[in-house]
Amino acid sequence: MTRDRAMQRPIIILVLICGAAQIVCGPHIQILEGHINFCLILTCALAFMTNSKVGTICGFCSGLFYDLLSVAPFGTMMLILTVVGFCSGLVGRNLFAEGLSRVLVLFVPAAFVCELLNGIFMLSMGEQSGFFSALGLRMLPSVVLNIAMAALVFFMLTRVKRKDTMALRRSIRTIK
Amino acid sequence: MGMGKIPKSRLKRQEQMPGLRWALAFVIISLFAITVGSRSFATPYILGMRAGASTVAKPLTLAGNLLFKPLSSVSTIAHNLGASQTTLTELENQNAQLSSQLAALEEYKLENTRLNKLLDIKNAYNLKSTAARVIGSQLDAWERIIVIDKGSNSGIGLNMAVMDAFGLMGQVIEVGPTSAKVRLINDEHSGVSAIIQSTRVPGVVVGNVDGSLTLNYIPTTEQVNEGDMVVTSGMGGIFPKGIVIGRVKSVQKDSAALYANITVEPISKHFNPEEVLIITDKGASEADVSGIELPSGESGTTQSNAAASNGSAATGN
Repeated sequence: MTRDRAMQRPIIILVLICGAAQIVCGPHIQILEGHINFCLILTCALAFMTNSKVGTICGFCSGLFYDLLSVAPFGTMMLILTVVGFCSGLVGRNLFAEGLSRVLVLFVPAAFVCELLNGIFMLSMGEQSGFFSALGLRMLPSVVLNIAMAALVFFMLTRVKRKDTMALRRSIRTIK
Repeated sequence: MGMGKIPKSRLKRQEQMPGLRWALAFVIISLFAITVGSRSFATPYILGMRAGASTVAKPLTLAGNLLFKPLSSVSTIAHNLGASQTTLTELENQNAQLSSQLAALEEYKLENTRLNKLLDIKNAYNLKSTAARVIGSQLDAWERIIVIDKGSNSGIGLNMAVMDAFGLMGQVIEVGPTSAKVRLINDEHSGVSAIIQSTRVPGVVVGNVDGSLTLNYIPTTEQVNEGDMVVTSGMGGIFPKGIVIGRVKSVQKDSAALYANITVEPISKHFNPEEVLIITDKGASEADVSGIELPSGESGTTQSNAAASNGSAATGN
């Protein structure tokens, strides 16, 4: 119970920061045509911190948030982030305990799959550009940006989690 | 196995894959949303929800714009500092040329007004517009949109044309009470009915993945030169006639092809303005002009223009 409460605070802060960052920073940070997807970072972070159930619920909710703010076909990001959240949670349950590098190694394919699925979906919905130009100008730059931002977010999370774990251990010792 | 007991295999699966049921339920909901969302009857609801979300997110969008504005200004200054002496000389020469053209155009304008009065034709370029500030841009890599700080409360409506100081920028695609989203003409989903100003050959300007513009459906038999001005044709009824889109940058003609491959350089150089004009009233349309009695011999042309205008209403502007 105490452990759950200790985890709640960073999760709530992370959700608020990622939600705000998606609106404030998302549109302004770009490489070529690629943009950062903070909703993806949030989904993977929560899935890696907890389990696939939380990852799925977070993926769906953040996808809905993203779909409401963008003008892309409604439901696309909901579907993609639900799948990515579920799979990330299955593969990387409580992954933050294993260190930052391990988390990033699993985030890279998640980011790539997310962008690829989104790209395939957009192209199948009538996007005019060819697959390879979309890959070079949109998908890969987005993946690079997502990885860079995720490295920063995950690094901060590992620090916060370490502090929380130490505080928890201290409180357990005091109770004993 | 009793009635209330859960099979061991199911328990094991639930333990190994927590959230599988949630995932399946959400996937079904998402697929339903995608299917229903693409149907026309659901569009108003989705637009309504998105307008609500935009309104709620507006303070943060504004904050983001304020936060990143200095960076944008610095990059513009750095870009301007890089301008060479040759560029400056070219601009000075161009300025002198434009000043003389402006004087001539003033004369033409006065003459046009006099002739219009004589024939009792309403001015088709009597546009009413509202100025708005750009407060945000696109969220994802697949769209080129900007967010403006005026919405339905200020008389902004769907499909209204948007301009900046140079020429056509785009079209309003979503309207909230206090903000609206504008799809830029260099977005891949955008299509503007256009004509080449000198030859009056009609075509459609569409956006490309790299942000450039292409003028489609110009037959290879037509004469098109680099530097020709491309303006809106007014067909389709969304964009008013005669708004500058850009200049022809390159023309490629394949002898076996029906249409030429024409690249257009947008007149709005960077598609990153701070203020825009939304055309709220297009004044007298072509339909109004067609109703006026013209001297004999010209009525056929007027009717065909009106027919073309009506026929092109379905064009995906």
